Amino acid sequence: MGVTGTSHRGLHGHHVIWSFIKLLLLILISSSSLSLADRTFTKVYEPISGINACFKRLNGTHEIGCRSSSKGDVGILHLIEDKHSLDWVLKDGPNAPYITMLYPVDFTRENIMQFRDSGRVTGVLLLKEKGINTNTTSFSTDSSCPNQNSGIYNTSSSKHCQSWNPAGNSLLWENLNFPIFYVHSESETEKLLKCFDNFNRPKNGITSQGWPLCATQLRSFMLAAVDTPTCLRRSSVFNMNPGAGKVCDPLGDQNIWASLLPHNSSESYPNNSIIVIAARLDGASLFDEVSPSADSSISGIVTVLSIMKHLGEASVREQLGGEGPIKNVYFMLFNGEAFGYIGSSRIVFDMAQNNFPFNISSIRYFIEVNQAAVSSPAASYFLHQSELSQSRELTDIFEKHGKAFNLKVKVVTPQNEWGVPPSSLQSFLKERPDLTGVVLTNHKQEYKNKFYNEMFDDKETMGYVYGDRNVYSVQRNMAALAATLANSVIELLSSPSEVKVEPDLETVDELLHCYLESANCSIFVELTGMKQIEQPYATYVGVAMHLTSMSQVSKLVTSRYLGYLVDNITEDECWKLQKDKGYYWMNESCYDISHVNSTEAKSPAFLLDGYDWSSGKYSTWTESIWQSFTVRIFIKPSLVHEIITLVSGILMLVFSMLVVRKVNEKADIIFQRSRTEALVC
Amino acid sequence: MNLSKQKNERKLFLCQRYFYAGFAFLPFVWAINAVWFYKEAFMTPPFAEQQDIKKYVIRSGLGAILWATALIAWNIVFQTNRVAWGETGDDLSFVIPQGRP
Repeated sequence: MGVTGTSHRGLHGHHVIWSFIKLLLLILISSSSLSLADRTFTKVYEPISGINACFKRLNGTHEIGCRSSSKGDVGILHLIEDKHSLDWVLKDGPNAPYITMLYPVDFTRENIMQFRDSGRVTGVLLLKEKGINTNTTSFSTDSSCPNQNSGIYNTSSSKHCQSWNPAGNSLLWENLNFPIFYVHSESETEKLLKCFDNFNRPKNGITSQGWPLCATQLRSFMLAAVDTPTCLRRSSVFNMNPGAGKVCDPLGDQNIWASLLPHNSSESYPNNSIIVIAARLDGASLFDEVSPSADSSISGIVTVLSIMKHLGEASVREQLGGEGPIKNVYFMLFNGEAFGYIGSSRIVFDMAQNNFPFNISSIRYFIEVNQAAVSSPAASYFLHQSELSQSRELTDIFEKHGKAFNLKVKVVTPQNEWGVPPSSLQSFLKERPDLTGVVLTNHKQEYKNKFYNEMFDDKETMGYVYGDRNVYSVQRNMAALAATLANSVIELLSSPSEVKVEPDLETVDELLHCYLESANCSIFVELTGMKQIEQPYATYVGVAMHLTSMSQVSKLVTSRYLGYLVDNITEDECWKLQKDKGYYWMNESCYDISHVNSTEAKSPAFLLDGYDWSSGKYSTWTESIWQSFTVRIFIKPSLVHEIITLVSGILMLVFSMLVVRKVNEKADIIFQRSRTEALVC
Repeated sequence: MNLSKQKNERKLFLCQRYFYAGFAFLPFVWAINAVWFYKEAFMTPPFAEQQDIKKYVIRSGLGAILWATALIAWNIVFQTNRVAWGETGDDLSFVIPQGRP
């Protein structure tokens, strides 16, 4: 009994240890396979990064831009290289729908409209040309007459739509209704082209390759639809989570403006006593996050900043009395101009509502700098004037001071049929047609800039090379223009004047480097006190509730150049006085910047109750909310293959259920272990 | 419950109750009434209360059909016209679709 007892216990003990070991092995194996395991979808889809999406915007009556379905649109990849591949996609290819890849030279209005209307194209991928753009000589998606419906010329006027921007194909303003992505990364472009070459390229150019083919899925789902009043109404529907139902946001940011000389706020300015020097702060592009806007806006900003630096210099500023008829100079940087003059129309509105230090009748001269990049020796600047009020005094002074720096300034005569170019001046002329305004640009009629308001308007197409102090370089000309304007303003403020400034080439060069090449430059780093991103800041105005780095850093530069240095004050004291006295600590010193302002640049349409959205009086642009932008490629089998896979899977399921049922019925016969064990025990 | 095992007065009582209940904007109650008592009203051999039950079943049935037509008609009108109605269409919708008009 004892013997059997011990042997029984021994056997049992073995059993326990053995099952414990089995359990341990099971845990080890399953955990190791879990850490190596991938989700199935990562083995199927290859994500494409380095992409910029085209997205949807809406105005009072229409929607424009691109959208995809909520899960993304799928199509077979096809590269457009010539007429034959275009026909393949539109007519001949047997595997519609397609997603086309094209180079900028083929991204024409005609092709995109054909894609949209054919019903065989579900998306477009724009590729970057390898190396330097040699094929693309012009690329602009803005209208050929930018902002024609927001300016002073209405549709009945002959000047309503001049060909200011002949390269413009207006695709920015079309309702494209399918997703479009720009692939800026070269390695990712390689992936796409390789996939196309291996699987999709038609054999001999005539017959299609059989399945499986390389397909891609583009996802850029936009929540808003129809137009701005609809999307705003839908955004304000009651929701338990406030703000969760939002589908669109109004465009906007901040306008930066500052006065040169101190002014007692209780005194009002007499009529015609202020000079305004203005530039446009924003750029535009069809794609998100890529709007370098070098000539379109940066050239103007840097020129005006340089003028600020000249005039804000203590030795210059203290000579400017303000005893003459001109009492002050205001600098203004308008944001959102590309979308119906959002910033400038808002300031004009604020002036009319008495929310501004002066109203529009106080402006004697309005000087705007717009597209100021001149790089060829034969080129000159052009001075466009408002039609109802020209000033010989102004143009003579410009020409005189320009001669000192060999700057060629040609005055465009009023008899010119083209009128005032698209500019922020137009917002002011709408309110006061007899305002004396001038716009300084590098073009007489058609834009010299062939890449206006699009992603290739960068330092290369502008012809800017950092450190190039050549007499014909972009920075030399802009510095000369800034000095000319500064000297002219000095003379207008307090003539005669011995104070003269020289072109500040270094500042202009550095500022251009900061805005066009890298935000991590000495000027920005000193002013913000921290490291910046390596890329230049995007210039797109964005939505009103998010302020862009572009506007904020421009405000800091303005503050630095126009601020009054405060002596004998520590950093802590300076910060303490920020709210009350408007002090700001930057560049290791304290500055009084109470006269530098940033006010909301949002269209008055969103402030006025009961605004008529179809009136066209103010800009009504909003931007749709989106979820995420993804592009991925995968190998797609034919429909027959997919059905066979599904059916065989179902059959396998049914078969396995039958087998298990059968085995279960005969379990006793198959597994005899339990009975024999009982016999042993 | 097994209707055939009930007393006839009980059957009439139930049918009548369901008929009156349906007036509280409950067409489905009428539909149930009509279907449930159909056999008793038309297919069993005649009994005293069958005339009344028949009356209630027919009226319930008609009421249900009327409601069904009205709801289907409204549904078609709404689905086809919601977009065209703009703001009114959105006011009438409980869940407004995203990304579409």
